[in-house]
Amino acid sequence: MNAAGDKLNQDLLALTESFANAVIGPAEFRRRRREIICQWTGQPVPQVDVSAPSEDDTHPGMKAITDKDVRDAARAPAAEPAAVAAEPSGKSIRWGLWVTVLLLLFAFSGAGALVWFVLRRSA
Amino acid sequence: MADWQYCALTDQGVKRKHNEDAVVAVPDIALWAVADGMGGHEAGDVASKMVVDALASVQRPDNFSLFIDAVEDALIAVNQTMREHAGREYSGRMMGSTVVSMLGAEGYGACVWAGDSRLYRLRDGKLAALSRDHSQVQRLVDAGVLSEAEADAHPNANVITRAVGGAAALVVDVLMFDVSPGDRYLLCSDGLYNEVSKEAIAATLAQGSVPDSARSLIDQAVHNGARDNVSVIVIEAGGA
Repeated sequence: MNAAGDKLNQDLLALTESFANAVIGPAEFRRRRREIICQWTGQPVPQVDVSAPSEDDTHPGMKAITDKDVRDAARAPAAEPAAVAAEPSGKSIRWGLWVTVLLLLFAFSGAGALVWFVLRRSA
Repeated sequence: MADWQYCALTDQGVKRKHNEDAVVAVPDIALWAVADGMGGHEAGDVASKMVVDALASVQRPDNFSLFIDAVEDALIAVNQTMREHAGREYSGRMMGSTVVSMLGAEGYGACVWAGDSRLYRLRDGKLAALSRDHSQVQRLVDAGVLSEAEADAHPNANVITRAVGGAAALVVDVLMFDVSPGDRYLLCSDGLYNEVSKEAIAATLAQGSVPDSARSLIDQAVHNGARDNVSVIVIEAGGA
């Protein structure tokens, strides 16, 4: 790829970043991207109705990733992918089971002691 | 339109119980894509299939910039559909898919992608990655925190920052490139490049027919253990 091509691709990536960070709107983004691409292809820039709602009524709303996020990610311990993390882990289920069993044992022994105490008094 | 040869293959791999990858080839409009689904319990299969189905229905306008818009529109639409589907069928559990697509024309092409599936080009024996991963480690590499070698071994190497279905609004990246006769292009999921070295990919792409190269890439990934699903599309620009 030649230097002019590299420059156009840098412009494309920067333009997308601006859009992702809501610096420019969807219609402006598409218009400028078409200009850059047509500069590459040599085709005429298409005239598209920019007032069309499909290109003007949405924003990416994507949270900008800052240098601080990048540094924090570098320091963060290894994380499971979101898809895996979203599922309940087997270990936490086993702990929950143990706590439930212990609570039940405690409740039954308490009830048994109460019955024994009442029966002993009434005997 | 230029003359293209291609071969698209996908394989479940050795360790996975399902194939959550999907491939699509629409040679009539010179559009090829690989999608790598995520979400587990069939959600990943559904996600990647939704992506390739959406791309298979794209119409190609004469103007290339509008072709790119059409591909992006299809992905934005499927992003919305996928999120609604995840809310309805999977109790809002995460469901998504990476996508990397190649759009061809006479003398040039474009890559439209989100996530860490990749487009490579082999020209004069040299392999170059055209797409750049949307991943945590790629950001660290860009920031100069990690080297390329460290990135490959990083524990967060599989954490991606963009995917179809990953956010309410999808933003895809677009990259333009020139096409010369004899160029070979490779679209692949991470199941390939995590198992097969860049040198081996280059050597394999350089030899044999297009179907032989594609088959050999899959075979090498499987031979190396294929912990993930593996998908490849090898495309050769005609006129060599």
